[in-house]
Amino acid sequence: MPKKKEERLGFLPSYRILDLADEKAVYCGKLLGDLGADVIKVEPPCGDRMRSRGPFYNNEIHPEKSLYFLYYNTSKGSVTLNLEHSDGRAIFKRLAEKADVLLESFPVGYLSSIGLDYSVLRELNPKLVMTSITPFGQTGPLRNYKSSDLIAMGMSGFMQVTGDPYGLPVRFGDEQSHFAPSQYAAVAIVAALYYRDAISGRGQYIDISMQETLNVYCSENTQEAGWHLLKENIIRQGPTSKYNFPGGLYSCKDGWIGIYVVRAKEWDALAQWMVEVTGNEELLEDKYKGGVLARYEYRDLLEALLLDFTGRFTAQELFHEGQKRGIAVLPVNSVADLLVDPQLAARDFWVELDHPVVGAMKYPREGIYCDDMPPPRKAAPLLGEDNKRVYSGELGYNDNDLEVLRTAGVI
Amino acid sequence: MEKTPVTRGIFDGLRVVELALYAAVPTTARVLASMGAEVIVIQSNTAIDESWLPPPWGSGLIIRNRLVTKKSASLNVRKPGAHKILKELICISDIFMTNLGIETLKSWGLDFPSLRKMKKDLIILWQNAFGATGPYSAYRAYGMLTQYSSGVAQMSGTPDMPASTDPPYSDLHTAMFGALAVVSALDRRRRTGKGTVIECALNDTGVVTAGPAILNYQANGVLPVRMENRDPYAAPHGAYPCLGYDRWCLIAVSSDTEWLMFCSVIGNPPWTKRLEFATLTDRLRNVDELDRLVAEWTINRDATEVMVMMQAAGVPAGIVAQGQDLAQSEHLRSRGYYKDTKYIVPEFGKPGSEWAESGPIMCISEPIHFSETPIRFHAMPRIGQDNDYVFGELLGLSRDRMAALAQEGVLE
Repeated sequence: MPKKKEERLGFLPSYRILDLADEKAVYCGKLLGDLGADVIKVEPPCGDRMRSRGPFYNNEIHPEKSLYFLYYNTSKGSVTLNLEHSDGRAIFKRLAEKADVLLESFPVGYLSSIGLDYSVLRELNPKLVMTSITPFGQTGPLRNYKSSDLIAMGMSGFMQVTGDPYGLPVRFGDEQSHFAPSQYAAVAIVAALYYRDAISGRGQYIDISMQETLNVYCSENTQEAGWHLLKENIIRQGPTSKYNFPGGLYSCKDGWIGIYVVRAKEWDALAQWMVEVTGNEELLEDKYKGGVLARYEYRDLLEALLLDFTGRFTAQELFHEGQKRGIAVLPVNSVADLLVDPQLAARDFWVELDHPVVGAMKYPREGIYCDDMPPPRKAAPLLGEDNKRVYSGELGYNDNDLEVLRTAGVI
Repeated sequence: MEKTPVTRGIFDGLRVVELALYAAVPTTARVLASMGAEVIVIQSNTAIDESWLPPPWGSGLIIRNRLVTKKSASLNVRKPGAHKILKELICISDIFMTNLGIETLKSWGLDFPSLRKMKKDLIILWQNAFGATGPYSAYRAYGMLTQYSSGVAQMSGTPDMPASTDPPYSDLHTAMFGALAVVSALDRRRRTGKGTVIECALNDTGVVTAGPAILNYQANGVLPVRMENRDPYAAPHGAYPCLGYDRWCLIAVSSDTEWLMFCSVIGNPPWTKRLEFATLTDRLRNVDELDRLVAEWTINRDATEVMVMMQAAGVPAGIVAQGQDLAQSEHLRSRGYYKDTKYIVPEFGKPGSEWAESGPIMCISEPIHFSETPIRFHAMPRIGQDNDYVFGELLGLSRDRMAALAQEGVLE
C-alpha cells in the first residue's frame, strides 16, 4: 500500500471503491465507506434512480432530499458519468485503472455488452477486485430472472418462514433483502484485498447471489433438510415458536411483548415470577423445568397461563422487571422509540451527520464497536460533488475539458 | 470466469479459537473457516449447547450449519486447570471469538487486557445482547427477539399485528458484522501489526436494519405503516394464491412496461383496460380490487408456471420457495450452493466422541464465489475430535499429561 493511504483516519485504509450498485446492493458501499474506504458512487448525469425515490425530506420532491438515498449512501462520494456514451466508458476505464474495487449489480451480461466486463478491466488493472451482486448470481438457469425485494425474500425461503401459518407469507421490514448480500459482499471484498496485498498481488472476481445469502439468513429453519429427511415443507409459525416455550410475541396490557426462554434457569425465574403474581404453584412442577424443547408437550396449557400473566402488565413493566429477573423479555419498539432509547443513547449509537441540503440528522452506526474504528463520518453526497476532485485532481482534466464533457452529456 | 489452479485459501495459516454458544459467533467463525482459517471450537461434554437439541425431529441438524469446516477440542472450562490451557491456545492463535460474559472471562484470567498483554496482535471479537456499556448492558436477548426491539417487526405484517419471522433475526446480521470487523482487523493488522477488540451486539445490529424509516420519522414525523406485501410504489405487488396447499406466486410490477407485459401475460382481460387501473397511481388507489382480480387469475395456476410465464415476458415474478423447492432447485445445485454431508446425532448421557453419524444430508455452503480462491467445506466434527491435534501437536502436551488432564475431567 502506498504510504499516503495510511494518513486518513479509518479502520480500513482509503481503498478506492467504484460503486455502480443500484438499490439491491447499495448497502455494500455504505458499509465499506463507513469503515473508512474511499467509495465513489458513479451516477448517470441525471442522478442515481434512488434520488427520485420517496420518502423525501419535508415531503419535498428533490434529488438531494430522498431519505432512501440519504440512508443508504453515507460515507460515499459521487461523480457523474454516462456509461452509455463511449467517452464515458473511456473515462470509466481510466478510473478502473486506479481503483481497488469495482462493485456492480447490473443485470448479468450488461457490463460485458458495453465492453466493461471483468476480463477487460483486469487487463487494465490486474489488482482490481470486482464484485457483482445480482438476484440469482452470474451462473445457473435463473441468472437472468428479474427480481425485487419481495421476490428475493420469497425465492430465498425467507417468506415461507415469516408470518402466520394460516395466512399470507409476508415480507419482512423495509427492504430486508438489502442487508445479507451486501454484508457477504463486503466481507468477501475485504478478504480479497487482504489476499491481494498479503499474498497474490492480484485481484479477483466475486459473484454474490442475493438468493443464496438470504437463504443463509433463514437457514436455521433447516427448510431443505426438512424436505430431505421428512418430505415435509417447514412452514411459518406465526408469532410464537412451535418448539420453544415461551418463544415469541405475547399480548400484554398495552400491546405485545417478546419473551424467549432457552435455558433452564430462565424458565425457573419466569415460573417463579408468574407464581408470585398469579399464585398458581403448579408452574413450579418438575415436568415443566428445563431448556429448549422442555415444555413442548405442555405448550397450550402454559401459553394460556402466560397470557393471563402478561395481560396484567404493560410492555415496559414486563421488559424491565423481566430483565431484572434474568429473563430475555423485549418490547416491540417503533423507530420513534429507538431514537429516544436510553441504551442506544448511552452507547452513542446515533451519529449526527450534517448534509448541505437537508441539514443534520441522526444515522445509526454500523453494528460494530471498536476503539480503533471511528463512526461514520459523512452524510450522503450531492450529485457529482467529487467531479472536480476525481476528474481534475486525479485524471488531469482542466476546466475547459470538464465543460466540454458536460455539454456532450458525458459527465 | 476462468479459474487458475490456485488452491490456497485466503486465510490459510490463520488460527481462530471459538468459545461461544448459539448462532452469531459460530456463524462468524464459519465464514473464516470457509476461507481457509483453522477454526478450533471449544466444546464440552459437561455443558451441551442448547443448539444441539432442535429441531425435535432431527437433533443436531441446526448446529451442523454452525460447525461444518471446523475442528473441535473438548475442555471443561468449569475446571480451573482448563483456563491455563485455553490461554495458551489463544496465545498461539490469531483471533479469539466469544460471547461469554466479561465477568466470567475475567474470573478465568481471560479478560481482554490480559490476553492482549500476552499476545499484542491478538484480534478479539466479543458478542452479546446489548453491548458492554449503557443501562441495559446486563439485559438478555436472543436473536429471535431483536426483530421486535429493533423496530423491524413494527413495520412488518398486517395492520392488526406486527409480523414475526422464525429465523433468529439479528444473530445473522450480527454474525456478518462480526465477520466484516474481523476481516478488516486482519487487514489492518497486516499493515500496522496491531490487534484490536471488537464488540458486536444483537440489539444494535437489529436497529441498523430498520432502514430509511429512521430518517423519515426525524424528517417528517411519519411512522411506517404495516402493509403486508404491498409496496408504496408498485402495484400489483404481492404474494398471490396458487394451486395446491399453501402455494403462492410473487408478482412485483413497478414500471409501465412491466404493467403492459403483465396484462399481456394474463391475456389482456377487459378489467385491465378499466380506468381505475390506467396508471400506477390509479392502481395503488384501487389496490384491493386489483389484488382480488390478480388472485382470481393466479388461483387456478401452478405457482412456478406463473413465475416462468411472467419472467419470460420480463415481469419480475417468483414463488414463495418452500423446503422442497430449495432442496430440488436445479439452479442452486448448479452453483454448488448445497453440499452433501453428514451430521452428528447427539445421544445425551454418552460422551460426544461416541455419538453416531447421520445418513447423508444436504447443507448450505458459504454464499461467496471467488474466481481465484477456494471456499472450503468439510463435515462437522464430533465433540473433542481434534483433541490430539490441539493439545498434543499444537500445545505440545505429552500423552501422559493429556491422560492425566482427561482423568481430572479437564479435557471433558
